[in-house]
Order: sequence, then structure tokens, then C-alpha cells
Amino acid sequence: MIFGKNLINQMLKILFAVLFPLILLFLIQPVFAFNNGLQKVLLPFNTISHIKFSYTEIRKSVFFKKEQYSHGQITYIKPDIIIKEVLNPQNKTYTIVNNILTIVSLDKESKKLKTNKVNIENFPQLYLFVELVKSILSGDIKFIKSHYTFKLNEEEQMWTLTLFPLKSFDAENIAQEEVLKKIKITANHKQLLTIKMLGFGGESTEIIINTILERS
Amino acid sequence: MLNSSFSLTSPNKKITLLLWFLLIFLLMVYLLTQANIRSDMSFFLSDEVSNDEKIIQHVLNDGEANRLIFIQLFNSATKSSALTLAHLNKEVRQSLENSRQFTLIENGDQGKSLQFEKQLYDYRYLISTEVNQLNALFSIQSLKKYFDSLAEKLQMIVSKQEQIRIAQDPLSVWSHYLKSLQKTPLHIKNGVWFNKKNHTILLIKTKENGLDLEAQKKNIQIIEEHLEQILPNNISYDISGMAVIALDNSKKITFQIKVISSVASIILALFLYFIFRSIKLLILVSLPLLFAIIVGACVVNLIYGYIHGIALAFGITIIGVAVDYPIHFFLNLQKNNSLSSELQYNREIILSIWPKIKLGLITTLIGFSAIIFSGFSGLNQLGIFAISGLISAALMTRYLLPLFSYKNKNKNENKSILQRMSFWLKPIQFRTQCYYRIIILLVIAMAIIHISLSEKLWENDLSQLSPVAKELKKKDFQLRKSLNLPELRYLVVISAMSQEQVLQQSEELTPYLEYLIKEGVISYYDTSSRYIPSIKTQTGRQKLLPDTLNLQENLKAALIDSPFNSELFTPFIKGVNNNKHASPLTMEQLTHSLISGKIQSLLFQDKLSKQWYGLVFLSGVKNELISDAFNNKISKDLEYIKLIDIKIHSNQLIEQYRIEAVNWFFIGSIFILIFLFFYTKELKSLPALLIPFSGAVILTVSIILLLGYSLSIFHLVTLLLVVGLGIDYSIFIQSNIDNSSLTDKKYENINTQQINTFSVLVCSISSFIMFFSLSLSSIPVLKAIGLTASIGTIMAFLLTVLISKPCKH
Repeated sequence: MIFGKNLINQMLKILFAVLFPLILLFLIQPVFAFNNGLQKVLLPFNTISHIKFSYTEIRKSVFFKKEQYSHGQITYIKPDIIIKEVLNPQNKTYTIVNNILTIVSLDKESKKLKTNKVNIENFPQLYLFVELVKSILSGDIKFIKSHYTFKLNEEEQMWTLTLFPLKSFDAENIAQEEVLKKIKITANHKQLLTIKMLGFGGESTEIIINTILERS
Repeated sequence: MLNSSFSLTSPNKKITLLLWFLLIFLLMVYLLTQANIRSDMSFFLSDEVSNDEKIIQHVLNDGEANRLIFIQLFNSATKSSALTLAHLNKEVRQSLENSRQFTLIENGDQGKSLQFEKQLYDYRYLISTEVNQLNALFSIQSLKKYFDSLAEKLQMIVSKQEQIRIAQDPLSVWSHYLKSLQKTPLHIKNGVWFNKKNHTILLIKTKENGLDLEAQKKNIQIIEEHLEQILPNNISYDISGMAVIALDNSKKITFQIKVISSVASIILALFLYFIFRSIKLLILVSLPLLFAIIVGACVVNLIYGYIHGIALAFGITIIGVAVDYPIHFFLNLQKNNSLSSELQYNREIILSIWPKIKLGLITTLIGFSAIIFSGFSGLNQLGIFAISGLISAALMTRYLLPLFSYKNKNKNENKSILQRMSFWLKPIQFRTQCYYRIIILLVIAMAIIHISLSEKLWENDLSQLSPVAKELKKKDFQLRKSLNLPELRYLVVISAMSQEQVLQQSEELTPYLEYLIKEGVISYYDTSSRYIPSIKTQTGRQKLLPDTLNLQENLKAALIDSPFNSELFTPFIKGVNNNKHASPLTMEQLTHSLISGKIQSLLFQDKLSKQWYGLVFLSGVKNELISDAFNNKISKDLEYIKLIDIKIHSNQLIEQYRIEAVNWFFIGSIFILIFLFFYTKELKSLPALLIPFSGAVILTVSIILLLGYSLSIFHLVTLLLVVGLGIDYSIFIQSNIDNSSLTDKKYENINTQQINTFSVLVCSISSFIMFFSLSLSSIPVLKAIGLTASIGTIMAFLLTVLISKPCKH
């Protein structure tokens, strides 16, 4: 069914897009450490066990008449629980526990909540991303180095980290670098500000981190 | 010592020798350049091949199943991440694809191989089953639903390629078609197949048939080279498939044959050297047999245009009696030559034994000629091979061997051979003929009773004789099962007069097959209409496709409140319009596509009858349910559908073949009996000629059964050799069968019967050495041949000696 696996795949991709802020949120906390390299930056992450923040997502596509906006919240609970709640334009919740993704949404026709479960190992791009999250949280930069090259620019109050995808394939064997040109993250010394993913032909997704809601 | 130096003094002799070598040379050249050896099931097929047999032949020879090679990558030491294995899997695939050695390489990446198959893609609205609901598919409501789904997908950045694909096919009809072709229940992790053991899997389809061992050997070498280059030390691999099994078999058989025949040849050479004390004679002993093989192969190839590999192997076995001719000749040379020149003497000796050789030859040929008239091309070839081979071996013994010089430098050597002869003959010279005859007849009668009471006389299941290791079979079965590949036992056949009819009938069958899946009788089926629908279905779908104006209006209405820019979907409207007005897709249009091999294995035409056949391969079949499910439901509703159980069918084929062979075996024996009766012109001497070979056959069969084996076609064919040997032995030992114009009186100092008995003893020991060694093999076929021939040789010799009159002293 076209509304089956495809839909889940799409949702996973959305989730994938939103997971970036989560990582970067951890990345900016010890921002001074960037001066000493990525390895040092990653070390303090072990101290964060729980975080929740709100976001706004702006999507530009060659097929859309205008930019698309969505809003919601993302929660991370150490070691491997990630929850994304989309609040607008429609309610939808994505939860990942031990590589199992559960999607809860409101069925338009029946007006009832429906639940789908899927193993993210079957969705390489998302799986790759989760692996990346885990690598960052465990302070292991080997994975990042094997899948991205990165560039760090610092100004007085701001810094920018740019990740360039290396060769890796998604489920349909499309090389990651054919999908994404780069991932650009901007932040000030206190907080992550934006994450922008640039694709080809005018495709882009920008995520703006609004507020840290909870942190421990 | 016998000095076999060639003294070519006479010019005539030189010319004759030259002509012989020229003939051998020409035959060799012909064989090396023209011989076409086939190794397929057709050896066992009747000349009047039934439709079912044609289909089985097609499946086994041209089918996809035996062209598949499986690779598993895994880390046995530590648990490798799926990601690492997936990357390696993709790298191996890429590397093998770049080699351009293989037709298709799959690793589970959602039909990547077909993803860019333009010819199919252009017909996406006619070939996808999604379009069966097209009238609903192109409604405003349905389009809205699809575009809502697309909007969700587009929340993630898409590649340039995807952008083009979305503009052309926003309803994902092509993606649905590709998914419908995916059949494996394997997990896909990181874009590639993984089994439950976390091994990642690749499937390779070779250009060559799995039975083309040379080509497959090369293919496997290429695969191994690529794997060795790519895989790190901690990752292991495992290669399986029909070709791997066939090669493993071939290696195993070749190794055993090499070892066994080397050891046996050394023992035989030592034995013959002990008898003759001449290396050159050893070479000359083997000449007629080699010549027989060359001539037999040439004649068969000339008549049929090819040789069955099995006919060649069996043929070489049953003409083993050809070695006896030179042995008889060389041993008869031991009679003292005091009367004539050496060449003259050689000629006299060969003339003295020629009637016996000729009689043995004719009798054996009568036996073998019976199988020429059978309705099996395999048996016919075997008969022609044996007849032409034996005639040529006898002619070489008669006309070439006497041309060489066997002068004894030392006259004492003759004596020593004769002394050895007396020593060897001692154990068999004291016997009372009548007493032994009664015992022999009693033993044979008991053997007949034992055979007739035997519960499992015949083994028709060839798999029981297969040398394939159980582990290898199991691994192959599990891999096929995990990939939902057909198990090759059951086959559904649709036959009709046109390709279109077959496709239509295949479509009619589809709901029934879906029902079988639902009921758990099968797990998957593969049929041609899955890839290319019938023209009727395609034109039906064309009618469901909206015209451009309607589609434009519906699309506009569906996208009115959506984020989409409808103008960007012009390629979609154009694609639908093209499909609506295109000529339906046919098999011929796909000749050069990746899918063509697959379709041709499922849909083909018999060139002779012009009949079209559609095959449906079944996977995950529950053996106990399938026949009933077909007979009770499907066959009743769809009369043109037939379920073939290949295992039962091939066993029946072997049984039919065996019955035919047994019948011709008996007919041959009757002909031999009639011939010998007319030759000897007296009933009294017949038993002495008939009992050795017929008794040897009966006793051999009885002993084989006593040893716990059942008889197979391999035993049966080897019994033909026993018949040949039995006849040869009895003719040479029976002193009253001698119509030679040259009497033995010239050589009164030597007892001719003694020499002949000794000569037969040497022949039987030689045969026994060779075949007994073969019976020690762990390969069932070699064991069957070795056991039958070695027991048969001993029985034939013992019966001949015991039934003959005692030697005079």
C-alpha cells in the first residue's frame, strides 16, 4: 500500500530532520571546547541525561508553492529514548526506543488515533542518523569522521559548524551526498540557533530552536 | 624378457604403421576440434519426449535456478555492525557489477537493478497492478490522498533524481510495481538483505548455465578475487548455489578418480609387469582400449553431432573388455616359435586366437546392439559407442599389434612366464566338472530366489546416489528458502497456442495462487504475468487511464488547497497520456532488458510444436498440501493448469529408462543365445558358454543386494560389461570353441587351453584391480560401478573356470 511503508519512511525522514537540533544542542553546550577540537566538545555530553526543547521548521521544496512551516517539541532521555511531537499543522508523535520507532497520529477519516511500529534498521538514513547521535553522545567522533567532513567558523558571539556528507547510501541506494549538499549549524555561545540542510534544486530545511523547556 | 622394440624392417609394415598413426592422429584432431559433450538430463529421456519432459528439460537447462550464486558475508568472531556489513555488501555488488561478468546482481536494494530500466518504466501505468483501480486512482479524491502522502514525503529533502521521478510519477505507481517484484522475506537493513543470523546476502545470476562447469569455475574465481580484495580480515564469506554444488561434486569426483585410478593403475602396472616383464608391453596393452575410446567418441559425435557425458563415462566402463584382446595375444605369443619368422609367427598367433576374439566380439556386439534399438538416445549412444569401440579395439589387436616385434632375447624368459603360469593355475586345475556344475546351478538358483524375494530391488531416486554433501544441500535449501526462491520440486505449467493466451491464463491463475499463500500452502509464486501483463490486461488498463484534459482538471481540483504547484506535474500528465495511446508492451520489446532472462525462463515456446508454455515457480511449498490443493480446487476450475512434481516425474523417468534398459538387456541375451546356438550348432556346449555370463550377472546382482544396496541404472549398465567379460572368458577357456584354421598342433609343447586359462586369469585380475579400487570410492555412482564390475569379473572368471573342462597335464 502506498500509504503504508512509504508514509512511515516519510515520517522517519521528518524525524531525521528534527534530530539534528538535538545533537547540536549538545554540541553547543561546551562551545568553548570547539577551540580544542571536536573530541573535547563531545566529552561533557555524558553529563546530560534529559533535555526538551521547542522548535520551528521551515521547509522549501521545488514542488511547493511557498515555504511550509511546522512547530513542535523534541525530548531526549539518555541513553536511547527520543520523542518528537509535532503540534502544528497536525498532531503527530514519533518515539524511538531501542531502534524501534512508534508513530502515533490521528486518522483523518476515522478520527481515531492510529499507531505504527517499525524497526529503524530498515531505514538506513535514519538509522545512520541515530548512530550518529549515539556516537556524539558517547564522545566517539570516528563515526562522524567516516560519514562527514566538517568545518568550524567562529566569530565574536556566534559560531557556525558545517557538515559535508561523505559517500553513504539510503534505502533506495541514493548516495547521501546526492541528497544533501551540506548541513549548516549556527549558534551563539549559550544556545543553538538554527540548523539548515541544503539540498539540490532549491531544496532546503531550516530548523530554528526556540526554547529549552527542560534540562537535567 | 620380452623385448618389444619395434623393428620396422619391411616397407609394407612401415606404411601400415604410418597409416594407423595417421588414422589415430586424424581422429584425435576431429575429437579435439569437433567433439561436443553434453551433460544434461536428456541422457535419460526417451526420443519421444513428452511435454512434461520438455518443460523439465527447459527448467533444468535454461531455467534461472541453476544460474544463481549466493554470497553470505558475516563476522563469525565478533558481532559486526549491520552497517559495516551493509557497506561491504554494496561495495562487493558495485565491484562485481563493474566486472560486467554477470547478468544480474541483487542485494535487496528495492529493485535497484530494475529501477532505471527505461523500457519498463515508460509503461508503468500499463504494467503495475496498482492501475487496476485506476478509475479510482485518478479521481479527485484519490489524487488528493496520494498528494497528501507526497506532501509528507516532501518534508524531507529529496535528491535531484527523486525530484524528476516525483514530477513524472507522483502516485508512485513505478515504485509499487518494483515492490510487487520483491519476493524475499529477508530483512532489509541499511538497504541490503540480512538473514536471521545477521549475515548479509548477495544473489548473483551468471550468464552461463550452472552445469557449464568451466564457465562457472571462472565465475566463482572472479567472485572470490573480488571478495578477497574488498573484505577485511575479520569478515568471512560463504558462496553457495547450484554451480558451487556442481563444482564441488566435480572436484570431489575428479579427486577420487585421480587418486583411485592412480593407485589402481600402479598396482595394475606392477601386476602386468610381473606377468610380462616389459614396460613397452604395458603401453601396448592399453593401446586398443584408448583407440576404442577415441573411435567410439568420434562415431557417436559424427552420428548425433554431440556426445552425452554420461554415455561417454558409461561407454568407457563397458568397453573395458577391450584390454583383454591384447593380453590374450601377448600371452599366446608364449608358445614357442621355432617354425617361422617373427612377423609370420605373430600373424599365426593372432590368427589362432582371432576366431575366439571374433566370436566374443560378435556375441558382445549382439548384446550391445539390442540397446541401439531402444527409444532412448542415451542408450542408443551407449550402444554405438560400445560397438564401434570394441570393433576398433579388436581390429587394432588383429592388424596393428602383430606388426611389432616381441622377440625374446633370452629364451629362459619364456620359461619363466610359463613357470609363473603353472604357479597361478595350480589352484584351479584340480576340479571335477560335473560336481561343480551342480553346485553352480544350485547357487545361481538360490541367487534368483534371493533376487525375486528382494524387497527393494531398484533404486529409482537418483538423489540417493548423489555425492553432494548433506550440509551443502541444506545450506543451499536454506538460502533459497530465505530468498523465497523456487524450490524446484513443484512446477505449475500453463500451455496454450499463443504467448497472449498463456499470459491471460496466468492472470486467471493469480487469485488462486494468492489464496494458496493465504492458506499457507505456498509462501510465494513467480509467474510471467507478474512482470509483463497480457495485452488484454494492458488494453483494459489503457481504457481506465483518463485523457489529458480530464486528468488536468482532476489534478487542478485535487491540488487546489494543497501546497503543491500543479504546473510542475506536466511530466505526469504526459506519461499517463503516452501510456493511454501506446501499443501494449510485449516480450519482444524487452529482449535486451535486464528482466528478459527472467521472463524467458517463465514463458517460452517449443520450437517444434509452436506451443507456448508458461511456468509458475512455487516457493515455501507444503508438500503434504500442495497436490490436494491443486487437484481439488485449481485443476477443476482451470483445466489448462497442470502441477508437475519434478521429483516424482524424474524418478518415473529413471524407472522408465531402467525398465527399457532391462528389457533390451534380456532381448540382447536372447539374441546372444540364438547366435551361440547357430555358431556351435549343438545344444550340449551352450551351457558352458551361457552359464558364465548369465550366472555372473545373477550372482553379482544377488551379492549387491546382500550387501544392502538396491540396484540403480549405474549397476545395470555396468552389468553389460560383466556380460562382455563373461562371454570373452568362456570363449577363451572352452577348448571346444575353436574353429581356427591354424591348429595348435604346431605348438604342441604348450597347452593352449592352459595359456588361454592363464590369459583369462590375467584379464580378470586386471579388471578386478581397476574396478575393486573404484568400489572403495565414497561416491555412490563410482562405488556402484566398481562394485558391480569387480564382483562381476570374479564371478565370470570363477564360473567359466569351474564350468570348463579341467586342463590337461
